[in-house]
Amino acid sequence: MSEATQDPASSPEASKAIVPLLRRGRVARRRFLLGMLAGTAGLTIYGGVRASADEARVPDPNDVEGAFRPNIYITVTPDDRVLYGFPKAEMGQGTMTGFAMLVAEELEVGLDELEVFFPIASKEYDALETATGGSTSIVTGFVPVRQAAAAARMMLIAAAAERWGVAPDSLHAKAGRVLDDANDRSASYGELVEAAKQQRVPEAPVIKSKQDFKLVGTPARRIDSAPKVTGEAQFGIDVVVPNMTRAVMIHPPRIGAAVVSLDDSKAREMPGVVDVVITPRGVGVVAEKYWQAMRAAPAVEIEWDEGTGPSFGTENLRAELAARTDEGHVAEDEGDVDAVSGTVLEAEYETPYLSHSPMEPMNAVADVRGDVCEIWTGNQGPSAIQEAAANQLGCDRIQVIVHTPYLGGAFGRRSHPEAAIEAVWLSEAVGRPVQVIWSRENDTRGHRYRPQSHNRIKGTLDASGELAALEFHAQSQSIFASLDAGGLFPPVIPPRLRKWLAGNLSRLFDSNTLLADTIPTEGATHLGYAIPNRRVSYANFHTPVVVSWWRSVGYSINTYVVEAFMDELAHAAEQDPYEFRRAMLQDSPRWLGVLEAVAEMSEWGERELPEGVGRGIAVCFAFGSYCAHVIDAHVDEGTIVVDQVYSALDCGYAVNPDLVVSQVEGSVIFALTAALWGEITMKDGAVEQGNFDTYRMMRMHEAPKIEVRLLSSEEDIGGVGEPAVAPVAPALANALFMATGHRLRRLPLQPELDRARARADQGGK
Amino acid sequence: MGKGFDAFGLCTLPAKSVPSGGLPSKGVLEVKLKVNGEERSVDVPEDVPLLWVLREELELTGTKFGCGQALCGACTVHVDGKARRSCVTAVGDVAGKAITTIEGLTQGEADGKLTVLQQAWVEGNVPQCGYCQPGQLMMAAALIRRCPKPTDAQIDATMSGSICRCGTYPRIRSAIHAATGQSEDGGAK
Ligand code: FES
Ligand code: FES
Repeated sequence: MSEATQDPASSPEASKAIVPLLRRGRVARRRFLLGMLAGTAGLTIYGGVRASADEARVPDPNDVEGAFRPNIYITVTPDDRVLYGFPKAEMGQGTMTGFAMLVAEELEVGLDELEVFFPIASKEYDALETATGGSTSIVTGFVPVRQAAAAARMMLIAAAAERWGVAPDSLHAKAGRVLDDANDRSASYGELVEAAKQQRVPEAPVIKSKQDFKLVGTPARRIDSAPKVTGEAQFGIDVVVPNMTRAVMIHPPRIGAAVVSLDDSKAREMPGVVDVVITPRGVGVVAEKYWQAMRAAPAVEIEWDEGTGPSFGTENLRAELAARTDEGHVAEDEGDVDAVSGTVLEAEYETPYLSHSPMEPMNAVADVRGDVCEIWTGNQGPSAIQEAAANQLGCDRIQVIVHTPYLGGAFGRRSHPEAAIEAVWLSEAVGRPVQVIWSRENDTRGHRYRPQSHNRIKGTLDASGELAALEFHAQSQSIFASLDAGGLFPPVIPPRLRKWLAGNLSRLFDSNTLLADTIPTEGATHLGYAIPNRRVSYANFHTPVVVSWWRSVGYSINTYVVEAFMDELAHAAEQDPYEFRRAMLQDSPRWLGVLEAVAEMSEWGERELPEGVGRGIAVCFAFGSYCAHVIDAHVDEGTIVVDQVYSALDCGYAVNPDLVVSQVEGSVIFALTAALWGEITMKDGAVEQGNFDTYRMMRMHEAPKIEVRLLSSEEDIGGVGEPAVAPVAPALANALFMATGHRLRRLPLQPELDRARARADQGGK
Repeated sequence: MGKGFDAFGLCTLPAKSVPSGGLPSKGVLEVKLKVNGEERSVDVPEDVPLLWVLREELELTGTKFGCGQALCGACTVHVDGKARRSCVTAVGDVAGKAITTIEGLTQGEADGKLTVLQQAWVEGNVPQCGYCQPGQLMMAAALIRRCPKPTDAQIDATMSGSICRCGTYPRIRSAIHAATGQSEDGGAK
């Protein structure tokens, strides 16, 4: 596969050639039972990556001598250790701490006493729902995580009751012990392990009601902070396995381009170079050390073909979308928008492609050996990686073992397995473990972007200035239809079948008959506003660009459009933007709650703003939570300065209020980066941005003051990682309208403001 | 910024020992380093970025790779007490100098204890994904050594070189104030 002449366009055959089928069913069962229990006490968080050397491997929890294990999550050892296998990804959102708090609460152990580890995706954990995304972890885990811990507690209590010959309900658990207050005796969990194993696993474990929580609901400290401030925490990029090589990936310079010819003779002579391998996603330069691969990569001479989108450009796409009048599919239809008359306002809004750009560039280690493929990578879905790797190798999914260390940010990007698959290809080719690390440029140009979109919106105000009708039409690229790219339907599937799948996926999500694609319109449907006549529709389009979930997904686009337009409507109706919204939200108490909260926090309408400062407001419902922001901003010699953000979030119930607040703060800054500068542009099939100098991130001195208020509504729990992203762009755009008089209907706002100012200058304003 | 380094962040300084078109073995020198108080020696060309020497040769992986071009601060270490971007620092340039990485930040503290700064980070729930935090802490540690009670403006001036994609800036600021015994706005407590 390293021959210079190999044509990767024939990738299905090519990958078969480099990837001999793993022999099925020959994997020793032991392999799959290798868990990640820390072998020694005192290690609270087991990042566990270095322990991959066979001798350093620690046994499966099942094999811990005499351990009590009522379910795959909880393990209690005879020497009083309590372990919890955290089945999700910790990418900064704090779920690891949240889940550990739930476990500690129900199991009656101190949060510090709990040893939390990342289980590996292997046979034992196969049934677990391990994907992390959509701000769903706490929402879906709130009850089951506690049940798993409560089952353990009940069985330990039952064991003590049996030993002492008393009724279980005369006992209670506290600080890792079962207590018999009446008889003044107690036993540690470790002492009860043997007897607990004999107890029946309760079918419906009794969990506490919220009033009885002692830990849950408090602003406890994150359990992952200590390793993260000492450099101990291991991320995917830090994984070292014995005999490992490192690789630089040279990705195609244009969308879908394949290698026509390659001269690697110079590179191969350079120190440390192990191999130069053509893969379906570019060329891997494999060396003993990454720095060796980095110096060898520029010495590889490659001629690429024109790729799958040689004339694709984001400016062209903008023009096409502006001209397109496809009616598409209706997502929401209430009343009759056509029967309404009054003052009509219409606008078009645009949003760009965006890269996730987590601080840790995409990376993975793969070790394809014999009949096992072992992968270490920060990821949001181990099963997807197992699936993709198994497809590549032609083996059973269960032969693929995935270790998930800490994720250095993800924001949706780590739902996709490209880096892992590249590592699999390279490991298979060189016969050694390979670590692939993307350069920042690889990462920025690595596709999987938030879709570019074009939205039309139209409102009708009746004679009394009330919003009688709202029409919203999105043009966006379907993320689901994009999923075939990059490895999920990989080249080992015969090309024709692959094409069929891709074609049909698009059609499925286009047709609105089989699978409704809600992403293109989320944030525009189910609005809390009392608008009697509403019509929301979308038309998908296709491009050679691969699109993805980007923190807050469709809301990040549509909440901007809807809430910026609400501001336009309020001004047209000559009403205060806050009062205009408020009047329409009287029957939506939770929408109203966050809206009124930010108005109160910001002293909306009561305080005079400094000269030149504009103030904007926006509200949304996303991922089960309600969020509003008020943003104050001004323009200093053409540069937008964000002064202050007031945020209110109603997520129903906060397992750890301080971590929820930190998610809101982080969301605001993440969203301000995108709202001000975020834009991936393409020309002639090539991405124009590369490193942080061209794909700009908000920095300390640019970050505003952020004040957050959490509203507790005692309602269902909602997500917290994403909702606060959505209303940032519209609140800022609205503030800038007040500050400058320019309506900014295209993201990002800084270049749009520059254009608006230039236009105004030309117009002699 | 970025000058002298190619797209992969590889140091392409005109090092005398590296003829173009490859590295003969004489380009590989023994470089003596003093890292976290320990004498270490590595056999690498002098122009290899310190970042990769730390991460790969010395297996000190707390120092992170973020951009390779001095744009993000994830790779920040101290060289003779001053913050340096290790991704653009040729290892040969720091031979013999005292290098401190995040792993060595607690040196001088009692066994297993965190520095006040790290402690403030933990108490303030600063880290989210945590990937940028070693770099942030090395910047902040260099700042407070220079300037024991930094104002907001001084914090901005120093810390703006370090990107946090998770947006922990407000908490970093608070933690620096807390660690230096100041109130939120930087005034004396
Ligand atoms: S990796 Fe050195 S500054 Fe970004
Ligand atoms: S904590 Fe994630 S990048 Fe800073």
